Amino acid sequence: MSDVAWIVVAAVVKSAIAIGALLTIFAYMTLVERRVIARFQRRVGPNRAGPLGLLQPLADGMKMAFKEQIIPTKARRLIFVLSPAISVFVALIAFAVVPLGNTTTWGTSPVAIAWAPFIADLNVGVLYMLAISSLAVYGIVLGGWSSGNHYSLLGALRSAAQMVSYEVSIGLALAGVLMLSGTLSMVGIVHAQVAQGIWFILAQPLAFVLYAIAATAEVNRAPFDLPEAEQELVAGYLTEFSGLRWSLYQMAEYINMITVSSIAATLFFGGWTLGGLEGIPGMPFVWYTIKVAIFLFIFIWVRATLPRIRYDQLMKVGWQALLPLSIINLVFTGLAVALGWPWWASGLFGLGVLLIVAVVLYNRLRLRQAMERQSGEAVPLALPSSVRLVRIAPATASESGDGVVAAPAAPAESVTTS
Amino acid sequence: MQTEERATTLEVDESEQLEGGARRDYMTINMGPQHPSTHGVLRLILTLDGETIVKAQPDIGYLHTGIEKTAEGKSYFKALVVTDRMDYLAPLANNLGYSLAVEKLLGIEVPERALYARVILAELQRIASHLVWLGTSALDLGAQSVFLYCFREREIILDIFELCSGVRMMTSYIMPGGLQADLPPGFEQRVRDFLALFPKRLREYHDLLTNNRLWVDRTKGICKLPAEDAVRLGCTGATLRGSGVAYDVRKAFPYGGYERFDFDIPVGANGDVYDRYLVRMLEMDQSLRIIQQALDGLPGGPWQVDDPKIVPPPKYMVSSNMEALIHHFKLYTEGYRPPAGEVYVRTESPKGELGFYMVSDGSARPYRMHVRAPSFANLQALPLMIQGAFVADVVAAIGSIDIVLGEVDR
Amino acid sequence: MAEGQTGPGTVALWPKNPHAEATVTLVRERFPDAISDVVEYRGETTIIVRAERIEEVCRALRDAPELRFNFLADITAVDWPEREPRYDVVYHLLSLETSAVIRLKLRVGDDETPNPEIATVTTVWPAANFFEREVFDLFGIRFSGHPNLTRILMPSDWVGHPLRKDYPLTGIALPEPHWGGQIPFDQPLPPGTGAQTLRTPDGVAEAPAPPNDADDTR
Repeated sequence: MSDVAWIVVAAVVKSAIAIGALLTIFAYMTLVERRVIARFQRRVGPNRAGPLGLLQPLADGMKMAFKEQIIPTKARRLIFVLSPAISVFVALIAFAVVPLGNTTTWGTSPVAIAWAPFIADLNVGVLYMLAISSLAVYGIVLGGWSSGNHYSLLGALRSAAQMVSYEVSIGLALAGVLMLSGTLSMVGIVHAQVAQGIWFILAQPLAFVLYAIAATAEVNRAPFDLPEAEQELVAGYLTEFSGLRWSLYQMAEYINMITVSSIAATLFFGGWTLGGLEGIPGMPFVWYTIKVAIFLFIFIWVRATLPRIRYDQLMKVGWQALLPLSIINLVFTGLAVALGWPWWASGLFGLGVLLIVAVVLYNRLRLRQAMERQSGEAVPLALPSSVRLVRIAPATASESGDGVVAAPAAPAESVTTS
Repeated sequence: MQTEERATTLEVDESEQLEGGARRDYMTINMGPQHPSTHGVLRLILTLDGETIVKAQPDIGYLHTGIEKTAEGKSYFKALVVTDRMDYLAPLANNLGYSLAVEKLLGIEVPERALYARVILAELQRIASHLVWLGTSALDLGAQSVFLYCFREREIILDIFELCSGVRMMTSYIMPGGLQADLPPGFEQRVRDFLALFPKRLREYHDLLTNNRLWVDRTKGICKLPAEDAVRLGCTGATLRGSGVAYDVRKAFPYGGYERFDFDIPVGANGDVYDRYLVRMLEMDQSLRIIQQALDGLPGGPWQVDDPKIVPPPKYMVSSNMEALIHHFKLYTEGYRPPAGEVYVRTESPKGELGFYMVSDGSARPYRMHVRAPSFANLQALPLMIQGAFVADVVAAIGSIDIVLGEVDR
Repeated sequence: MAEGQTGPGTVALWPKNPHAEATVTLVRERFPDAISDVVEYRGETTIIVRAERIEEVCRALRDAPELRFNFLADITAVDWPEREPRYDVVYHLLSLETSAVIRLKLRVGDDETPNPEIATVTTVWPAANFFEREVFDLFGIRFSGHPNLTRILMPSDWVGHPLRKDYPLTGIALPEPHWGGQIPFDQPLPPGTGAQTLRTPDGVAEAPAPPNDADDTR
């Protein structure tokens, strides 16, 4: 067999493995999320199906498969049926450039390289990733629009606006890493980190924070899950979907989570490497998996903790905070790279900016608290309070005996209006 | 083909002609009666311009169960149980209002122990109701863990109610003439344990939400209700106090012994969602104070009026005493007959001013029982609040006025 | 039966509102012809007002400088079918500023006017909106000038007003044979079975009966 044929066979087999693995991980990700959130909320979570609830995903899958798949009469049928598939397709192909190990994991022969643990090492890997992930919005927008439901339409519009806004910040945040590494290839970036002896999180802390926020918004996870905000829009673009079509969307969401976590791990945390320990056979996968799992856990953690942000506030954060910051980061990193400054120059700069932002936010909150706190009164809790405790003299009890009680205390103090 | 195409296109429900030939289209969405965050079966017909509310129209009645009519067909003794079902998150507050009204009709006064026990129970109920409110309104804004934490604490309170009455929610434990049964042994200890535990938990909620930037952004300055509008629209409870009007029935028209306790009324200033939130949060503190005082002063002695015409005799007497048997029989078959007259008793339920207007014609059944439901009146302010707000703010506003549809529709 | 008569203890328990006298005096002075009676019971003062003057009285009470009844607590009604006039409409007023409380009552309705009409007080307190709709819905008393006098608790096509004392409690008779709606298979369906009644806001419209070969839906 020629090398070319091997490469083709290898690509097909690896794709099949990746798809199978992703779908399995998606299924168990749902279980893990439910169990972990349950722990956060002092519940037990699903533990009935199989030992430790391990068969729960199977049960869910069966249920979804046998559910009636409703197509509303007002839906545009073709697009309605296609759009979940678009979502999943896009989510899956984005994973093609994620490296789980080095090119030379199995050896240096062409055949061994063809079986390297990633589907493709594109020299424009990051660009490809950005391009594909911006396609993901099509699945959502088309699905929401074609449902013929107002809630779905609102969800789809929110999603479109959100993705467009945050796509920009993601691209600019990642550009700093690209400048440091000098390559767009995902494998190349990991190699660059090994060569420079650091993880790029150290050189680009600001870019990482920006990426983390924007990526959460990009994959529609809490607190940025506006497109499917359950309490506002019923289920947003998902409202009219049922059965397997609904689970396809879920699948896309979870696979997107895995993908953005992989990007974060690869670009900022050295991918499969861990200070030379990746040399041990089999360990690159472990390191990679651990890193991604930590990110996924953080996704769940955030979801369990934070309230949802509002649509206009989301836009404001995206355009007025994330975008300027990422441009600042880009400019400074460009300077540092051009002038040949060491990596810690941009690292310190990023940390400095983060510190300034934190101080500004904290002070603003403090200022608001101070302005609103009532003077004098010892409030048991230090509250940022426009609320005061009104003391109303207790009405004198009716021991006067003449049958007439003192006037019930009039609403005391001033009746303020704002 | 043409018609099919039209049928699958989203309709423009309303539009407005602008200058220069442009047109503004509005969209109508139906929020409810089946919607995750309308707290039951409230239906809001929202006219939207993009995501901005142009017009909102509440449509209620989906949970109308005819409680007022039902009560007319029952004896005073039995009509008590339907009051539980109105504000099903605070049944004891309803019981208290009803009992006070019937006692006023009868012209009787309950013993001290019942008075104090009622205050303890009503304040526990207030905390429980506020916990459900806090959990659900946080859930509406996406903070889902708070919901379960609140229910964890509410469970402790419901356990106390179960200890007293055997029932967790629809207890009917407070009844005209006192309590259904004496406070059980261990009650005081359980309440004291709760008093020791709850401030810490309350602190946790504050940590999770009060200074949380996302929470403040979502609630501060949102859905404002100016004080004069709140008064004109008949709002009461935290909805009114959040707007800066210090009106609390417990202070303005003390009932059921509230004049004996030392507590303050939290009052907001801005009338926004955040102030209403804080008012309720601080009210829980004050309720704890009241419970503490009432528990310290809880006297012994009888827990019911000494009148076998009004309260059923103890079971052991029914089987040994002829007279008690007759009283028992008379009470459960016929009931008592208050003199003809009418009373209106206002109480401060967790939702606001809960008024019972009872008319007696001298027979054994209430001729008319009207309930001034606080949620019903507070709901009137909702369209005004959410005018010009976003869809996302609507759920915040609904959460902040804390309506219970069982009470709105009765 | 129970000791219900006003004794000294009762007075102490349910004291009279200190502003009640002033309120009654004010109404007597301003509207000597509008006030038909003043009732006291358990410390609660009720002023019975002539129906056609209710709006003026309410407005005067709201604007009275020393009383300021700025809060409408409640509006409801009571049906006394044997009495003429038949309905009591009851207003509970409250002043958040002076803690004054008063109950206004007016009597309307007779055999000729089963759906009597009185003036709305939504112009005085917007809070009256829902309360008046509720009274209209459940008693059939109309409020002229109300911005949106529609049913609020019952469905918009409901027939009758449930809180009236003559409202049927046991449902409406079905044509025989009904046996809870079931008809034995060996019997033909009575004419009209399966015909749908369309409920529209304008009333009840009879939908066209299904064709005779329609599926037997038993």
